[in-house]
Amino acid sequence: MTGAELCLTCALGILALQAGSFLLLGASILIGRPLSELATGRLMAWTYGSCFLLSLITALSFWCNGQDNLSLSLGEWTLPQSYEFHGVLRVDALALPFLVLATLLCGVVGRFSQKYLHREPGYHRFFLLLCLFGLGDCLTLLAGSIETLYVAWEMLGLTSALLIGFFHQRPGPVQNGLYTFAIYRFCDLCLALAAVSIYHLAHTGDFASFLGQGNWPHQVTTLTPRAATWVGLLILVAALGKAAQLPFSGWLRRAMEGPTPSTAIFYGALSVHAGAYLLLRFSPLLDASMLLSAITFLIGLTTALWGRAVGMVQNDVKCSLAFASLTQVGLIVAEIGLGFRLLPIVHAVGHALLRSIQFLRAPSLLHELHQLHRAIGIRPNPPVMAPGFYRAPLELFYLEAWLERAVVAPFLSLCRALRRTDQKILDRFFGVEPR
Amino acid sequence: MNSSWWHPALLVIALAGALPGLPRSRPGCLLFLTGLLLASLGLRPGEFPQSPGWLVLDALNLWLLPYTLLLHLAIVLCIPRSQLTPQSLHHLQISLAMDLCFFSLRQPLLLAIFWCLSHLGLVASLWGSPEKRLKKVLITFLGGGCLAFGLGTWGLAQGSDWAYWAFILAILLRKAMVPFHLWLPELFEKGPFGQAIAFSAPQLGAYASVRLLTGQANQELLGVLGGLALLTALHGACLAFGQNQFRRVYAGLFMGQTSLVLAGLQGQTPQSVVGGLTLWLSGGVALTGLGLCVWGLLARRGSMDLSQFHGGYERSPLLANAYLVFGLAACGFPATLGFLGQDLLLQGTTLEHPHIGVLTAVVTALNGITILRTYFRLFCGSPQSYAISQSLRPRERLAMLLLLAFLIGFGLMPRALLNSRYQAYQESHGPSRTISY
Repeated sequence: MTGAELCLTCALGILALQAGSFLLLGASILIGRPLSELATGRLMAWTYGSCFLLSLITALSFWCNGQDNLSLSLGEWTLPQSYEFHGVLRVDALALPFLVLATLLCGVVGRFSQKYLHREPGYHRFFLLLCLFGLGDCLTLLAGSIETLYVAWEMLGLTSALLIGFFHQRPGPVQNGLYTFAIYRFCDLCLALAAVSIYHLAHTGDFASFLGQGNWPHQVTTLTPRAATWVGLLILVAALGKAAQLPFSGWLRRAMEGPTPSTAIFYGALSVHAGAYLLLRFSPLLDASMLLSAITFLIGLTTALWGRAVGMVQNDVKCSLAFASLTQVGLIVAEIGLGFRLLPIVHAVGHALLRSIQFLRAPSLLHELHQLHRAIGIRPNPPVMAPGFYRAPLELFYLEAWLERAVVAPFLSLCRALRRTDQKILDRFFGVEPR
Repeated sequence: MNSSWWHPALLVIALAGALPGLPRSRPGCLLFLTGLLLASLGLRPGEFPQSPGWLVLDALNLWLLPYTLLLHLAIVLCIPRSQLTPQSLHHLQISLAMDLCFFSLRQPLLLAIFWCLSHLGLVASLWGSPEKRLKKVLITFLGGGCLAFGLGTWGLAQGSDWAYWAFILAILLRKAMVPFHLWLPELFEKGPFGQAIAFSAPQLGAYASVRLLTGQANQELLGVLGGLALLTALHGACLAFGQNQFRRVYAGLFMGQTSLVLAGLQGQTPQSVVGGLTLWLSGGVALTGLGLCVWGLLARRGSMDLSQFHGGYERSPLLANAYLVFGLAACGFPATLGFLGQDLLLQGTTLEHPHIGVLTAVVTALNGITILRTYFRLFCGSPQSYAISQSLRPRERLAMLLLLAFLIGFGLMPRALLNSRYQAYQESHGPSRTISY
């Protein structure tokens, strides 16, 4: 077996292992005989241990192989001269650092969750969703065509919403999950349109055909600057949604309702950086369009400032961490807009590792802080802010209120008006029914 | 298997099963349907008799016969015990026989006859019902549809151009498209739920549009139909989104997703048409599965207001998961057949008119949000105590499993289905296509 074959086989193995675990857990739940906690824990440990090992082998064989892009076709469905759905895996210098990070963090969080969620009613559901998330994330990273990427992207969105609503006996988490899902759906819609646009412009969805041949980040897109700007804007919206950048930042605070391990892996590490990864993957489009780069930079910078201001007034450890995370992701997006390519990867990987450990330790943070204060014998004062400046960040600078008033309420009114009109017509022509 | 005799034999058996006066029970009915389903899987394309072409079996309807049988089999498996009577089984068998005959025909006159007869099952199930307004609404809209179809057939015999307008009107009425959509939410809210699914899910209107309009009517007419279909899809998605009455939410989703089928079929690109044909099967199966979950919930909990959380995930996790999977499959979630259909439709419509592609994507996104909202409202929240067991019975599990196997199996390995849909597109849009009266 050559180095390239080994590399691709291992990449495929990572996906297959996670898909297998997902099917096994799903089937056991479906037939009404879920695995024991111990068996589930072992399955997770084996799965993610093996995945991490395979990702290391993939990375090593890739570097030893000369660092050329590697592609593997998963199959295609075609209609003569009109339609092509091509599943492709692509291993390159961009995907690998994120792949190793993803398998490592999924394993760590999985191990942590075995204790953290011990005897929780949704124990098996959590691991089922974790497997699906891991599969979606790794497929996102290894996607070699826009179709494959879209499939994986949808998986991320759904698992995210379901895990936010994990404690579904309370209405709060469930409503927040729905809010997040609605934002994701809107942004995914843009990704779908981007996929369709790419197909019509390049007649194929393979990255190599429209992002340019050569190794990342030295590709030059084959699209015209105008087309690159249009497609890039759609991709940007999709990335902003997942990365919680402005104006889609409102869902991040709501997402803290999920269990701490899922918060750590989604909003501290992998999911929140998926947007940055998407921008990096489509960086040839940014290179081709000055306007797109400028918009990306401005949004990233604004989000970083916004996140910092909002984070300062949070009185909850998970929310403080979430907005600190948002600030950093904003900076990463700004770096991408400025044209950096390697710096955002280092920044994202470092930040993901730090933030996930902070999230995992969040439940015991107060206890540790008090211990620290007792040990050093001081009690630090909280930061003082001008009263006038306090309210606006606390209300997320009225972003959610504005969205509610400008978008959600009018749309709901329209839907209700349509329903009332239908009812009135029926009542008018067929008589009013006694209620 | 030689279809030249086996196809009519299958129809005769289905019609014989619909005769009154036969003893009926669920096991017997299931045996009958399973036999027909297995037999229909062995059919091969052909015509009977050879020259007049009364009965036709081509790429379009080769899949529609097992599809209709599968839907009816799942419905019979899921009829709640409180609603299971020999009459309810008889009404379903009437629907099935008429649908199978309709899907096997091509001549306008025969199509018109079975179009009218396909209402028999629904009429019979509503015969003694106290829902007077519902009956009035259905007589007005569906009766109007029969009249329009009849007029279209007569007009076609005379060689008049307005015949196609009459067919379009009939299809609009039968498929509950804007502005003739009012009967569908009413039927799902107040009518017999299983019969309503059996009546609507096979989508006879879509078949009529392919057989009678595609390649015959001029492009402007088809454009009107496609535009109204898209408007209906958006209207249905909005109705479901802003609705708190559980049955009406389902009706809105049904309208929204099934209208996309017609929007695809009236498209001018192979992607749109093949997308429409694929969504016909995937949407029908997924919406039937979703409807059976809704029916199961209604039978266990009664009518539910979606402004509140109802809880119950712990007591019925399978039902909850099935609801979510069918709902997502209906909206084209990856790894289900619906994803391929939606993707094809989106590609095709965007190629024709980018704004139509955007609207199609918006409809799908809205329906996806509605599915998750209803899932959360129905199964999440503080646990409630119910007098009736909330878990799925083995027969219901079997029905869900059959439908899921279809959706996920063809979602992961769609090549055979996709080829057959493309062949159906070629046959329906081929240069040699004519309608003989």
